[in-house]
Amino acid sequence: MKTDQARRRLLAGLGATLGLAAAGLPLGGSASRARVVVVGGGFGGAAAARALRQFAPDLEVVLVEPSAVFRTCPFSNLYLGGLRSFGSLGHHYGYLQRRHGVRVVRSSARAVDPERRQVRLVDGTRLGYDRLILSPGIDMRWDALEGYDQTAAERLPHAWKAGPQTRLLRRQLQAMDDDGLFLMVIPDNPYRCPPGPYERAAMVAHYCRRHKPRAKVLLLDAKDAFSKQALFEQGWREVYGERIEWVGFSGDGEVVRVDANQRIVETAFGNRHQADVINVIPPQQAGYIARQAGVTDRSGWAPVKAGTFESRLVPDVYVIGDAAVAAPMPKSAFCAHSQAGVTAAAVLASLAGREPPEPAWLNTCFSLIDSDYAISISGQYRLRDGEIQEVSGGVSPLQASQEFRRREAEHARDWYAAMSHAIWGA
Amino acid sequence: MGWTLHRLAMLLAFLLLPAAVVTAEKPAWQQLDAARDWLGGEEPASGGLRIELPLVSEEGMSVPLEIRGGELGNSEAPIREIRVYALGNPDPDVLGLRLDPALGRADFSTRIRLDESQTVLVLARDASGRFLAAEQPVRVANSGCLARSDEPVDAPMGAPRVAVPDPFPGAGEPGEVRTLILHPMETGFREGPDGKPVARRIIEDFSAELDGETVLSARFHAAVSANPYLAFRLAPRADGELRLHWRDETGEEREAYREVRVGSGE
Repeated sequence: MKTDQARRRLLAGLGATLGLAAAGLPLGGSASRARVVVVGGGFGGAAAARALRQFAPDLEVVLVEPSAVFRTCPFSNLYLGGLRSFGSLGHHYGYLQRRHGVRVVRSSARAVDPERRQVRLVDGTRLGYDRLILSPGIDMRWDALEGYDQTAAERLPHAWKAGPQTRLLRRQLQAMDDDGLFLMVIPDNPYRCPPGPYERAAMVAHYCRRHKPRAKVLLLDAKDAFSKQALFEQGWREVYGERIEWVGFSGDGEVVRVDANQRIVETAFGNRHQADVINVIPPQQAGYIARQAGVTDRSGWAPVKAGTFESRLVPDVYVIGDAAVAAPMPKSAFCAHSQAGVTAAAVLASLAGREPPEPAWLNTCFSLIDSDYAISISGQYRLRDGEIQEVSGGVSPLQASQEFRRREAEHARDWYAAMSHAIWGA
Repeated sequence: MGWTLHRLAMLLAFLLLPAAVVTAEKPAWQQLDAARDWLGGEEPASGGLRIELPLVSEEGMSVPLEIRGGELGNSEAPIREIRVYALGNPDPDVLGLRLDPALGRADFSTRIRLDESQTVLVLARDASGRFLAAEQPVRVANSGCLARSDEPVDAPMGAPRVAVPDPFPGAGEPGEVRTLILHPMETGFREGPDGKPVARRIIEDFSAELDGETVLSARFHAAVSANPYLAFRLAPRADGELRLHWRDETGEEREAYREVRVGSGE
């Protein structure tokens, strides 16, 4: 009953984002001939491109994305756990082109010239823009954890961008001994998808329950608290018994050094852990093009004006999704999608010389514990005193029936289907 | 004409400045009685002391703070004392440190509690009595996390963790010593399940002695995060023994000893 309400709210929320964006319409004459370039075709960028074209059919929208197929991080943990195929994580851009008239340029952005309002692509092409939306996601900070560079990641995968790394981690898990140790290194905040590591732990345990019955999962965390912690710890215990062990910062969980060849990690207080499979989720930063464009500060992330997500550092450049500093909104796919709608409206208003509409954002993150057991966190956000503030929200109750958890798992699947259909048409 | 417009724009900009921005232009040390008392009328210099904090913290319960006060050994007026304040906390005192030049560098890392978005101020006094100041605003996204409600209140002080370089890089060369002790650091500001305030219980004193000489003594306040973490530098000239000691308000104590070995400096 309660979850059905939650589900209706969720699906209504997907529509509400679009309805809000529509408030920025219609466009004046000059704005309709303008060009908006969007860099990055994930949950933020692809949704922004779609929303712009939906609300301003005459606007020229160019989406720059190097991959022909976008693989989603959401549900990639389910692939690791054996609940979904790798193919089911992939989405194409044909629908955005055909149905919404977005011009998709299959290339990478190399540089931004804010003076000339141009994006330069790797092949040298220059794309002029009136407004630029960057939704580049994250890059790993290869200098942040001693011993962990791109070469090390081929032995100790991060799998924190869905793609070859995700398949590599799955292969390593499959090849692990029956009594093997799967070790995960988890960074301090902020990083992409706060509950992601803990869902991954459950999905790895799910896989092990059937295929590696004596295997253990050890989580070494640089933090003392994490998203939905009580629910995760309860779920892990209920479903997987003692299989998953979490060690936080105060328990000496902060990893300061890794040895990829020996498959050993060392903690701040000198404990060394050897494991059969090591999944290192390193500290992160905004994607390359955001740093290159000068929209990031010394934190490595992009500070934005709260109402519009226009960069605080470079005018007419907007940054959405994981790359932006949007706290208290988490770095999640749903947030990126929600920001896309609000920012599309703000961009259109700006082109038309109008004030941006009053923003409102939503977030829901589902995490699967088991194939029929999920937990969630959701939040609604508004602008208060010039800052983003959570106005309502909450997490799944700690006391709940199996039926309740089963329905949340169903909602998670509905969420993924609705979201990917809305953005990529499949 | 252009000049007049410019002036008008300046005037408008000034009138429209939000009150918060005007307040922020006043240095943090002027806004806090405790800081002014310690300064005793002196105005602190702004160079020579750096702090690092996240610009935005998603978790006010444990915010990493780094203090960089430079060299102690070769300085004519090395830093002798450091005090940390959080201007927006119910109790602005965070941490006090007394340093011996044997530390080598006045560099520290810890984790602190910030109740809301606010400015963190660090003051230092050097051997000549001169003061230094550094401050940084921090935006705290998830407030109200002064303590976790599921933490058992009467949890005893746990075993300390200590990591020392083995060996230290060379005679008189600083290496990082990391310390952590399990302790709830109950602030006294939050309510228990029965709605009554939970009694305060914090570790107050921490000290490090090298071969019997105190090289660092620290005063913790309630804004030091649960399970206090403090990393500092030590620059031993010869092999020896390091003693670390914690004492909480109830008088309970813990100590740890570590052998100090000095490398050849290569």
